[in-house]
Amino acid sequence: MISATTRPRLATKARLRFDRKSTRYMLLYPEKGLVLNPTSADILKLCTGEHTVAAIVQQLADKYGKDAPEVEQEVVGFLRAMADRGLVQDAP
Amino acid sequence: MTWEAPTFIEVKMDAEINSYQDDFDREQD
Repeated sequence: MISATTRPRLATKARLRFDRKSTRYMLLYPEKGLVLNPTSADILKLCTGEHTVAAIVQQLADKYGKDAPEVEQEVVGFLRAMADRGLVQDAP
Repeated sequence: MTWEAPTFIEVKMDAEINSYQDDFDREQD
């Protein structure tokens, strides 16, 4: 379950790649891929297992000049969708 | 920069594309 104290990291089967052709980031995993918008890519770049969700939210809120609670709602929702697909895990 | 809601589109890829991407990344040696 993704919460503010989770330290999310990409699953071993998932790799974040920049596709030069579409100039978009993609999250690649066996037989499928996700084409990401810039915000999604920014979130996943910070999923290294070092940062908590709260820290990721704060970094993105600062970067985009948004209120943290608003960013948190969308970041947590996105990470839950990734976790449901087995693409993001809580770092041990 | 403007904050947009995080979105994604799932696409089906075959193993060849994934391995091609790997080769391409390795090349980018």
